[in-house]
Amino acid sequence: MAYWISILTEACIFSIMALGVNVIWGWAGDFDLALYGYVALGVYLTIAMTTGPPVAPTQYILGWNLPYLVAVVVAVVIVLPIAATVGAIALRNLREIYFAITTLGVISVLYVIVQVYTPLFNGFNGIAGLVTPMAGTFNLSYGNYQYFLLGFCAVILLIVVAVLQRLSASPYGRAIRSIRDNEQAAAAFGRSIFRAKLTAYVLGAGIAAFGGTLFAAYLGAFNPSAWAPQEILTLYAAVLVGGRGNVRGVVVGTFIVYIGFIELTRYLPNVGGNTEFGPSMREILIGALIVLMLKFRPQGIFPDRHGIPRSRRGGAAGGDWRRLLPLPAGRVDAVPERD
Amino acid sequence: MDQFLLYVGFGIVTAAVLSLSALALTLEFAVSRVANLAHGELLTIGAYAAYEFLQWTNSVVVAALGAAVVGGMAGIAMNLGLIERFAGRPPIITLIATLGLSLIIQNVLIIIFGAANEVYSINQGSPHHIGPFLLTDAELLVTLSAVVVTTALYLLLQFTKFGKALRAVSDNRELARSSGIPAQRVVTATWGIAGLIAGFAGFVLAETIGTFGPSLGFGYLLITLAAAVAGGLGRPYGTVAGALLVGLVLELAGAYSNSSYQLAFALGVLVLLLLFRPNGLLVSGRQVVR
Repeated sequence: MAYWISILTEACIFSIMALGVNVIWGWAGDFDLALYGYVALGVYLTIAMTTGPPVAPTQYILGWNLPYLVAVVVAVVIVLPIAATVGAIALRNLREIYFAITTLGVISVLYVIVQVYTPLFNGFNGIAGLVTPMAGTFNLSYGNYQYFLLGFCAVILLIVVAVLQRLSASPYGRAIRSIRDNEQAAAAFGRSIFRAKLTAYVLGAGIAAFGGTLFAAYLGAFNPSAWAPQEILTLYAAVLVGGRGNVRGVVVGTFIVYIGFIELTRYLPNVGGNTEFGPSMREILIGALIVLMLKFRPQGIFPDRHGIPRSRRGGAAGGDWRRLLPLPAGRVDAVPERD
Repeated sequence: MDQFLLYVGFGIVTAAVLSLSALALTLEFAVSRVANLAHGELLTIGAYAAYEFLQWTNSVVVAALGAAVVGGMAGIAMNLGLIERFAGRPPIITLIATLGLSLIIQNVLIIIFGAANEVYSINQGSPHHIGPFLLTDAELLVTLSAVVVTTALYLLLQFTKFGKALRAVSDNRELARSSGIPAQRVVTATWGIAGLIAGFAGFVLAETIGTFGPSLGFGYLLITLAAAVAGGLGRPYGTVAGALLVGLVLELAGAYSNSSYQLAFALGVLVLLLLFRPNGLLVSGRQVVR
């Protein structure tokens, strides 16, 4: 039971991070590889701001004794200008593969610096010491704390979903999608491409960092082995499965990927006494999931049907607007996919 | 000054290895128009192949050839198994798929060879003074082999029928096909050649670093991309210049600061290039690039 509580908590937290991915990639169409760096900064900053000054030989910055909830806000506020700087540089005139390469560079360099420069977050050994935050405030025992944390993360997830749903249907939500689908056309209609894309980037990064602050409460400790640059791929797999752009779909996708793939593969046997087998097999499955989804169902299980009039949406999986067009003989996917 | 020239020498060796990797990447881009993020894994596969051949035969030449051949086969398999299956899709979709493939290959390698690092048992030879430079036999050989490979590639591209076909396919695959060039076969062969070079580059890279593991190539991907972008993606001749620039920057920056921050300097070069010369050093233009 405790095991399932823990997994569900994790899935809620990863859903929030995946929603951050969804804003940047699902709505704005920018394939950002740096996002897990914002998650990591959220985790590190939260721990560094709540556990007091470092005790030698441990080293880290800040070392404050803030209440957890205050630290959450401050951590997100610190990450926003960092993301804004990266976004302002990368989005000015780079798109698609060049944007992806630049953000891969950002995450790689951040990763190296955090590992090598120990005064920042204690280098490779990482930092620890955030134990059951908010337990004192709400007078919780160790026994019922994890139920509380699950409830807390679930409520926050619901709030984030509600806010993003509103935003999705707002003029901004429509504008950012129109930019994704056709930048020139959107510019011709007077949209400020750079500003809209940068807004999405900072918003997505902020949501990711927010997910990171919850992750800090869940983990209590963090080091570089927890956020290798490839970690982001699991979030992309979740968004791809759920349906790129679709807020509720992304949450369902995250639960499918994290519970279905990550947790169930924990039960894989160690073939030939090879202890690497289980964890590696999990990564292989994530990679295969990404490739296969991209190949056979890039719109995901629950395609984003936004912008299609309700009367024309059709059945559950039939909301794809391509169905409305006369299909060329032979290929069903002959209409160019948006990107 | 002497110290400076010494580091220039190391920079040239770094650039030699880098130019091999970047040339392979740029060839892949030239015919398939995709930035292959699984490119690093071709290097890793080459490094492991060389390791196995070295264990069996104890011959450096066999190891180098083995790395190239296995890399070539991996390149062809990568093209037919993944890249061609995403033909006609937006380049960014293919890029994401190659990143997924990179994750798959790295973990298959971990399952087969384990996550621990391997070491070649190759004698480095004693350092020699060559002009102002101080290089070991192995480093000289590496530099020389890069020059040979680059020259051979130049001759192949410039003076053979295949090279002409490759350039035509790179320009416009459909047009090449309709003028009677077997475009599909040219693309496959190009991936084979890129794989050959990448596999060999993996061996050389692991040899110059000393140790290697399943993430060898992925760790080198960013530097390779920086060199390839500096030269202009898809432009083999510019790539050598790009590799020289990035190689020198890396060694000199590493020499005068902490060498762990080399990657940060690679990113610095990459970002500056993308901002001011997104289509390569030798091509001007500053518009939105995709």
